[in-house]
Amino acid sequence: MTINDWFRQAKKPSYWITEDSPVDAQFLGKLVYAGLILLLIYRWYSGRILMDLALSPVIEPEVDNTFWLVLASGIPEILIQSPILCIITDVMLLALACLGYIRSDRVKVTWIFLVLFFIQTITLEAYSSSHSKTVICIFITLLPFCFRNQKWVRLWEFARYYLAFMMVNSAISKLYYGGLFTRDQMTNILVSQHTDLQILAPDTLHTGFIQHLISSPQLSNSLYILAFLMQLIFITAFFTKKIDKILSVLLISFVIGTYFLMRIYNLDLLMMVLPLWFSIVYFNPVYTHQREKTTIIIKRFT
Amino acid sequence: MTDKLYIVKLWNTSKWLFAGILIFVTGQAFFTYKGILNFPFFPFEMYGHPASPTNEVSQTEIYINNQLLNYTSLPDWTEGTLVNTVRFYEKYQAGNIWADKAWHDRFGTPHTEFQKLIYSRLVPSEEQMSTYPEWLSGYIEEAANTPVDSIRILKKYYQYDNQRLVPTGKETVLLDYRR
Repeated sequence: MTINDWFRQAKKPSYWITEDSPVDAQFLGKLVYAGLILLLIYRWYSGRILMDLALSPVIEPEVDNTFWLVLASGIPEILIQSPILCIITDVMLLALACLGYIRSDRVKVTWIFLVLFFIQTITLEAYSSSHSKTVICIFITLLPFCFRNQKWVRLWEFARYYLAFMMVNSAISKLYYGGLFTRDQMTNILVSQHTDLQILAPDTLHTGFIQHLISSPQLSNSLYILAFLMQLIFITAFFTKKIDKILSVLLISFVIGTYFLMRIYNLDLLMMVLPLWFSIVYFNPVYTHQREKTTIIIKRFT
Repeated sequence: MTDKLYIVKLWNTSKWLFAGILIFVTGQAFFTYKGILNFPFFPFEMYGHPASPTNEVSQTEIYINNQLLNYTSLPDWTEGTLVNTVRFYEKYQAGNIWADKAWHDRFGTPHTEFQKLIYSRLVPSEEQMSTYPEWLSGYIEEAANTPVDSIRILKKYYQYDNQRLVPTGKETVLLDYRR
């Protein structure tokens, strides 16, 4: 079955049935790895690679114990002090992602990729004094491919739950910490978030848009409430998969919205669209006569 | 009925996976409650805390060869690296490095060779940080694709006046470097 056939079949307004979970995992794996390759290419373009940071004298582990432990091991120091090792690591990650896309058995490739990506992430963030949270989405969406059969299915489901947790947690934070009840909350956020844009690029369309929002507190605060509602609706993902497609569209809108409103590139978060869009509704346990084979039924709600 | 629960299906699939995810979920809940960033346990607040109104804002301005650099036009991560490392440099100059304070609070002054080695991997030395202006020059040269002869970094303060940012006249020189 080619990927085109698979898409054609997936579009049918009925149950999508295959008889071999590793085959399903392969096609979803192709999608995940294709997304990963695009993300890595974007990271090269945006400078989120070790070779751009080589020899950086800055070290900032922040309050993060994992950063402290990994930095204490000395591995990030060895990496950052050697421009050649930096290049090798960056190229290896891209090569592993391509290998993961091509190969039918991705278990070893995924493990190696995740270990290397973990070291690269800690090194990049410590030596550029930053901490990005959405990078976890890459780990969570790749993790299922470290396993096969039922374990793959469970972790694929887990990725979907994790996304729901992230969004709902954020919505609850707005209630718990009081951001939602603060007067002119979004206006105040926009003012502090875009000072640089207003001073360094005052005449761009984007700056004009932001200034318009700052001068219209009702509009900007409505957008804050809208973002809160978009996040809160993900609570349904804990109880039903019937609106997963709507949630997928909401997630994409959320990522686009955060770029235009906040200039935050949540591209890593887009990886989570896949476990949401291709959520598994029904799973039959392994039959005795087909030990390595499982049956997965992915329900398409169209 | 309970067979349909994810947690039950997980238990039936693999006890090890069940334990792994349980530890992950417990860790996530603990660190979210504590409000501590601890990779891979991140508290996802996304601007949940109240943002207070501010009249005066500060802005880091980088002048390359006496020309103001519009770093907002650079790719996002490059912009972030510039801004964050300058912020770190500023804190370092002020002796306000979190990891340094945390180390001293937890372990005191590093005495043994091993302690000194680990400490050096967490907090840059003055000698290391003295290379920052040159490293930054090279970084900007690559990022902005322009030769860098001098860098001047200012922290300027602005006030809002009729929805417009107006300089207050207050400014601090963070770095003045000539190659």
